[in-house]
Amino acid sequence: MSELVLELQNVTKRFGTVTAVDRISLAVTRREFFALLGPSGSGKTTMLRIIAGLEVPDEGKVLINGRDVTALPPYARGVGMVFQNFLLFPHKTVAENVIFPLRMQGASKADQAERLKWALELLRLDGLGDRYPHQLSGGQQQRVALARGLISRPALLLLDEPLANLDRELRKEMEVEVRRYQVELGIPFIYVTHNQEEALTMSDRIAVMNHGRFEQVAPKLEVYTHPETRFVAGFVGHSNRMSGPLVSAGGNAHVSWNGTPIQVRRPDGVADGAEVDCFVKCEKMHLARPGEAGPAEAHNRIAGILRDIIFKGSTADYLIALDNGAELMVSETSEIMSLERGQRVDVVWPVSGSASFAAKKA
Amino acid sequence: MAYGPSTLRRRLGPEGRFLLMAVPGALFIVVFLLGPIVSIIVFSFWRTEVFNLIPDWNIDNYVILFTESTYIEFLKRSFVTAVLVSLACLIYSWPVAYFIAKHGDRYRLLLVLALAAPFFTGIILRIAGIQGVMGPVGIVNLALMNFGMQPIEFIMYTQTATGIGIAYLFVPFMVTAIYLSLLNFDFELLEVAKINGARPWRAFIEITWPLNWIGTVIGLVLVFVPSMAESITPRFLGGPNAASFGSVLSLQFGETGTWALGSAMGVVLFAVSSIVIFAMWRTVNLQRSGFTGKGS
Repeated sequence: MSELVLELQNVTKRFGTVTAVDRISLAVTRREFFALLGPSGSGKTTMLRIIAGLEVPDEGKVLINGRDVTALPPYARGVGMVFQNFLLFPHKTVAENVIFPLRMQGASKADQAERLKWALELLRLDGLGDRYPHQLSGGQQQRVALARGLISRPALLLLDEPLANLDRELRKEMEVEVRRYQVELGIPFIYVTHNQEEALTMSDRIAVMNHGRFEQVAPKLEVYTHPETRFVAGFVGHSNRMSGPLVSAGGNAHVSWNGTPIQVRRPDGVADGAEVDCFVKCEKMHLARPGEAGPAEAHNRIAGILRDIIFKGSTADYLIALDNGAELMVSETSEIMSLERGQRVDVVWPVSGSASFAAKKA
Repeated sequence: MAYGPSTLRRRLGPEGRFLLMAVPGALFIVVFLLGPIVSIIVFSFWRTEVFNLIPDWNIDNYVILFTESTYIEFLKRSFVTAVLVSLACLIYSWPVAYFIAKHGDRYRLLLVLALAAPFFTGIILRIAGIQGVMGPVGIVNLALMNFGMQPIEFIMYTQTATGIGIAYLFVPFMVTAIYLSLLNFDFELLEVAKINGARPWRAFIEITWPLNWIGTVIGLVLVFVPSMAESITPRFLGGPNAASFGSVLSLQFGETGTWALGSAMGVVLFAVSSIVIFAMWRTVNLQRSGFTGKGS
């Protein structure tokens, strides 16, 4: 019936005068991969520590499987946790590290052996059981940490930037792996990261966090394509920001950006003359030769000079120095046209690809 | 022309520089460690006559030590005292060191220095000081009697008083050893243990204790060895019936002038301490200590 596993109700945590977590409410269901995305200092790790029981919230409640665990110490909560710096027990072998949670629960020897075999197989650690942590590579250490977090079948698994210490190649591989474990185990993962690619790759839902508050909680595609706040628009994806006062002309709203009118969707409750930030994702913008018709719905068209091309494989980033003195970045497939540096090009994009918000008050 | 490090490097070569750096340490060991040990071993097989050492090889000193029950009694007493003192220091030091390492913040160094403060005065003054606290005219008993209560007798010139005095002398070694060990201990590991179901006490047994065992062993050795040899404290605090092996040993080099017997006692003391150190070291499993030669 109710598949709610984790519930936070108005959780607040203050450190001195800093409110690290500010009246956060959240519900996570079974089989959900939930990412907490935010810059460092946004309170995401504190939130994870509150769920784990390592911090006691000043206000609010934490419920796991419907049970109020707010006052329970970490060892009575039945959650697993994986840390950024692995934190394996250096004096215990891989097998002893992995088996640790089961021993603490007093599981039978036979049960321990069986679960250990299962965990080592799941994480492809077979044959490494007798090694010590310092004899393993970074990726192997991380998998041991995951095995230790998963072996006791916790109600949910908390992951605190678990891949941040791995190199890029390994991280890509592990992103897919971690997602696989979550699907196989059918328990919710709460995944803290400042890396939006990780969040977008693995999760079902994303909460974007800033200054201890949720800016937006939504399915990942929603967060990516329909940012609800100025912060989310700037933080998720690679966007161009165009700022200026809002003006109305011919029934449409425009932002006067460095003197160039940009057609935008009017943000709610913003009057003419107010400062507005308009965000357009780099891949929503396109290039066209001067005079050439752009794609349909090209409401905006600005002329400039192609300053540089950053080749990225299947795509490339094009840096355009505009005639109004500003610069835009456009992501396109790397094969489009045969553009050269110094060439005159137009940047075009539809209104639908933009998101506009009242600028932060200075 | 200047003699930079590069010139020195060229002149000496790697072996030369290795030797240059190794010599001071090696010299110290030979002159101040091996030298004295070899000399007391040699003296212990000689004999003394009227305050003179006579190179007349024999094993009489050892025969005396292992047949006369008083010496064996002194040795046993010193050994038991040292064991009990070490255990008392261990139990006392752990919470102190743990508190400083965990909650000392920026006052850590100050707190450790405060523990070592009695060292600034010298041993006689320290012992006289503790006598001023525990003795019959000490603060504790004077205060008790002042309020019409009985003085605490077991701390007046007893074996217990000696034990307390020795523990007081060497407890800073133990605290420092454990504290230094805890400085390198990653307290986050305890959070991991707790999340994985370990209660605080269990987490201590499983994680904190084994990962700080080397430091603890060093502390135990640093307390045991000097406690075993201690001679001044029993004289001041122990009263007439508390002579220790160490105090009897020091008599041989003073009043009685039997240097050869004293040397033999020194050799026995050295042997017992070595055996204890060796036994303690056997309990250390480097793999199991978390000691990897790397930071974590």
